[in-house]
Amino acid sequence: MVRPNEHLVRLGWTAAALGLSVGPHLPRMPVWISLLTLACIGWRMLAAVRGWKAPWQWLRLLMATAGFAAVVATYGTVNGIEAGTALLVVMMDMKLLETWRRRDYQVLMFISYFLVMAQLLYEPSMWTLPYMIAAVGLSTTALMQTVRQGPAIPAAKAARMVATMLSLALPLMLVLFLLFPRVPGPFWAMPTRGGGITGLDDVMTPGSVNALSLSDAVAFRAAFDGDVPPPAQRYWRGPVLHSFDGASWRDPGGRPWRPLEVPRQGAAVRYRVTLEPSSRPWLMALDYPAEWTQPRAYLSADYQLLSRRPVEQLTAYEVVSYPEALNGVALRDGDRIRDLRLPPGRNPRARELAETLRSQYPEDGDYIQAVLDRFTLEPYTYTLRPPALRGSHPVDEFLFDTRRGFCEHFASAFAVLMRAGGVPARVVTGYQGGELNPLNNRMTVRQSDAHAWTEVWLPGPGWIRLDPTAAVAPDRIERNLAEALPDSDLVPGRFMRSLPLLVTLQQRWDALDSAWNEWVLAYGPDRQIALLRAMGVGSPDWRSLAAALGASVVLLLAGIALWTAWRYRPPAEDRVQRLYHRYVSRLARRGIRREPWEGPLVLADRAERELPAFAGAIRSITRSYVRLRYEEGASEAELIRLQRLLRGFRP
Amino acid sequence: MMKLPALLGAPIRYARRALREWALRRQGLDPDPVTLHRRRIYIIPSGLGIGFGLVLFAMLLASMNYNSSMGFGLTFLLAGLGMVAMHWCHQSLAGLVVRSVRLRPAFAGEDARLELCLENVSKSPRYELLVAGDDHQAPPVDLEPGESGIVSLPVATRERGVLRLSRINLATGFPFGLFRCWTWLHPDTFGVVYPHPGGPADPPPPRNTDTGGAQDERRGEEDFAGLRTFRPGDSPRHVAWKAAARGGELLVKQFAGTGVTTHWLDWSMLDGMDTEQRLSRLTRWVVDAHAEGHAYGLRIPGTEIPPAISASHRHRCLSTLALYEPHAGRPGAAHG
Repeated sequence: MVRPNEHLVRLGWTAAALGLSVGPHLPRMPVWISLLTLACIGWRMLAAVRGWKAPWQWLRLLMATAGFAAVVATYGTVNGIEAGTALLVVMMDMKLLETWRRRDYQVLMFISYFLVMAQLLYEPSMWTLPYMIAAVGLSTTALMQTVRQGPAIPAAKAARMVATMLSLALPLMLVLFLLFPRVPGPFWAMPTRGGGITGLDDVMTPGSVNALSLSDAVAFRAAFDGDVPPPAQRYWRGPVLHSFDGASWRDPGGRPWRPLEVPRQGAAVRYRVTLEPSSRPWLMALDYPAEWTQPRAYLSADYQLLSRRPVEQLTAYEVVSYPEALNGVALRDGDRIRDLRLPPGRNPRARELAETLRSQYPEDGDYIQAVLDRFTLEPYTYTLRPPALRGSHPVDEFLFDTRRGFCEHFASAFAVLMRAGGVPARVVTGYQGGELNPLNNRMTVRQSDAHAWTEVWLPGPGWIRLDPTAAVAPDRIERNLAEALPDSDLVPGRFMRSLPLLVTLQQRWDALDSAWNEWVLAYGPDRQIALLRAMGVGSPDWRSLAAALGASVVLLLAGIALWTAWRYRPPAEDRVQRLYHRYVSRLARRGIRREPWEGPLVLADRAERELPAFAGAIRSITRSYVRLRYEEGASEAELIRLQRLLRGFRP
Repeated sequence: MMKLPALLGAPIRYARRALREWALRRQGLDPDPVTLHRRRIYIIPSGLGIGFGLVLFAMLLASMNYNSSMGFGLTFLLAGLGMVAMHWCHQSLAGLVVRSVRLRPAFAGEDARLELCLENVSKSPRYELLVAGDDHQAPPVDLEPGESGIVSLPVATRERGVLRLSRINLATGFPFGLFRCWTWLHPDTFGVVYPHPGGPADPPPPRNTDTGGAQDERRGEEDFAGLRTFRPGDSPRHVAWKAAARGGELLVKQFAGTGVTTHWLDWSMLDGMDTEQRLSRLTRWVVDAHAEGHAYGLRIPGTEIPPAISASHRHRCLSTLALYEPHAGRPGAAHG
C-alpha cells in the first residue's frame, strides 16, 4: 500500500515527534536507554532508505524480553514514574523495529502522548506548558500524516492545520481544567520517587543541614491572611528527632498516634501553604497547627503535621496556627527516659561540663540560661563551612576544640548538654524564616532556610522551643542566613542581593512562579468552588460544577461547529452574479424555475412567453446581465443600471 | 469469549442494514448534482478513536492518582483536540457536491465501472475522501478549494439486465482517523449489463443484402458508414486523421459499398439452444462482428435492428440483448 518514499516521510514525522517527547526523559535515564533509542530510530530510518524488512519475530520478542529484564535490573521495579517511563521508552524502541503498517504508527503516537504525560508528572514547572503544546502539536501532526492513505500533506500546510485545531482545543482545555470535578487521589499506592529531590531528612548528622543551605530551591510558599508573624515566630516544623547515637539524631518512629489538643492561646495565624513535592509525608506548618484543610492529614505526637502519603506533587492547604501557645503536655515516664538517654561512653567532656554546671544551678531555668550564656559568651562562630568533625566524640570536638558550627552543631550540642544535665530535650528540624515578596505578599521559604533547633521539656509549660543558634547569631533568626554568616562564606543569593535590579527581577520571577503554583499546579476542589461562587452560584457543589462544565462545553462546541462551517463556506459570489440570482429567484416565485441547462437568453424567452406583462423588464435585465458578463469593458454604470432594473422587477 | 464477534456479527449486520434502509427512506433518491447537507452525514468514533478514548481515560486516572494539574491539562488538551477533530471530520463532507454519477456498461461477470465527480465548492481543502461500493473501494481523493476530482470504482456484475446501484458510501476519517464520517448516496442512475459473450464461435454465413451504397459501385468510397478502430493492414487513406489529432485511439473510416460484409444475426438460426445460450451466442457474434468491422443487423423476437456499423449501434444491439425478456416476445403468453 505505502510507497517507500512515503514510508520515509511518515517515519520522519514519527521520529521528530518521538524525539521531542522522549528527549527530556533521556538525561535522567541510564545511558543504555539513550543509545538503544538512537540505534532503533537510526536503524528504522536506514531500513526505510534501503528497503529492509522487519527483523524476525523471534528476534524482536527476544529483544523485547531483554529490554524488559534490563529495566527491571536497572530500577528493581517497573512500577512508578521513573521505571515506568524507562519501560515505555524501551517498548517504544521495540515498536519502532516493527513499524511498517499504519496501525503501528498510531500505537507509536499514543506512546508519544504518554511520554509527554510522564514528563509533566515529573516536572510540572512553567516552561512545560509551551513544551506540552509543542509536543502534542508535533505528535498530532505526525498522527495526521501517518493515518492517511494518501500521500503526506506538505509540512507547512499540515502544521498550520494542526495549529488551528490546537487553538480551537485550548479553550476547551481551559474550561475542562477549571470545571472538571477533581476527585482527590491517590487511588493506589505509588512508589516514591527515588532520590533527586533535595530537602529535609529525618536523620541529622553534623553537616547535613548546611548541605541544604547551598540550595536556592523553593521548599514552599505561604500566603498569610492578615499580619505576617514576626521573624522570631517563623519556625516551620519538620521531623522531630529523639534518638541520639553520639553523632547523629534520628526519629526512632514507631510511636503510637494519639489525638492531640492544641491549646488555642494568643493570636491565631491563618495562612495557605503551597508545598513543593518532597517525596516525604511532611506538611510544613508554623508551631502549633490547630486546623488544616488538607484531607486525611493528621498531627503527630510531636505536633508535626503529616500527610498519609508522601507529597509527590505540588500541594496546597490552609492552616491555622497558634505560635504563642504553650502545649503544657505531660511527659510520660517512657518518654522521659527516651528524651534523657545519651549513648554511654560518647562525648565525655560535654557530660562533665553539664554535670559541673548543673551542680552550680540546681534550678532548670537557671541551668538552661547558663548553657545558653556559654554559647553567647564563649567565642563560638556561626558558619556555613565548619571544620569536619572526624572523631568519635563530635560534640566534644565542637564544644571545646573547633567552636565553629552551623545550626545543627549548636542544636545537637545544646540538646546533649540538656540531657546530660537532666532536662528532657529533643532536636527539631524544619525551616526558619522566609522571604516576603513585596509584589504578591507571599512568603517564599527556600531549602537554604532549613534549620535545626531544640525543644526542652519543663514541668508546667511542657515542651518549649530553645534555639541556640539565636543566641550565637541573632541575625540568622531576625534577618536571614546571608546576614548572619561571615563575609567569607559563600551563600546563595548574597551576590545577587547586592544588585537592586536583579532583586526586582528575581522577585518578579518568584511572583510569577508562585502564581503558577497557586493557580495551576495547586488548583483543586476548593478553588473550583471559589470560582463558582465568584460566578454567582449560591451554594456550589459538584452538581453545579458538572452543570457549569456541561453548559460551557456545549457552548464551545457550538462555536467550533460554527467556525468550521464558516471555514468551509462556499466562496462569495460576485455582485453581478448575486443580482442575477435575485432575478432568477423572483422568477421562480412565479413558477418559472430555471433548469440547469438553461442559459440566460433561453430562460428569458420562456419567461417572456409566460409573463408577457414583464417581457420588457425581463429583456432589459437579461441584456444588462449578458453585457456585464460577456462584453469587454462593461462599466460600473451598467451595474448600477442592473441594480435599478431589479429594484423595479416585482413579478 | 472467542465466539463473541461471531455472535455479534448477525445483529450488527442486521442493524447496519436497518440503518441503511432508514437512511434511504429518509433521504430518498438523490438528484444529480447533489450537495451533501450536514443532516445526512453520520459520524461515529473509529477503532482508533476508541483506542484514543481509552488512552485519555488512562491519562485521567493517572492525573487523578498523582493529583497532577499538568496531567489534567494534557488530558483535557487531547480531549479538546478530539472534539475539534470530530467537527472537522464532519465538516469535511458537509457541502461537498457529487455530480455526474454514471455506470458504464459491462458484460455479465465482469466489473462495471462506476464514475462520479466530487466537487469542492468551498474555501478549504477536503482530504482523504473515500468512495466505496458494496465490495470495492476507490483510492482516496484530496480536493483543494474549488477543485473537482473523478472517482471510478469497479462494481461487480453477475447477470445481464439493468444494474441498479443500491448505494455508494462516501466517507472520510480526516484529520486523525479518530472518527469515521460517512454518507450514503442513492443515485438515480442505472447501467446495462450485457449478456456474457459465450466462448469463441464461428460467425453466421454472411449475406450480401441491401446495405445502402453497396449497390452503387461508383459512389463506393464516398458513402461514409462509420468508424472503427485501426487494424494493421488498413489503408492510411481511410484513417480518420482529424479525429486522431484530437487525441484518443486511431480510427478508420468505414464506407458502405467498399466490400463490407454484412451479417444478419438472427435468433431463429440458433435452434436447439435455450434463451440465455442464444443471447450469449448473439452477444458473441455482435462483439466479433464489430471488432472485425463488419456490418450487422439483429433480429430477435419482438425486435429487429437494421444492419449498421458504429459504437452506438453496438451498444444498441447489446442493450437489446441485455434487456430481452422471454415473455415480451410472445404477447399473451402466461408468466411461467
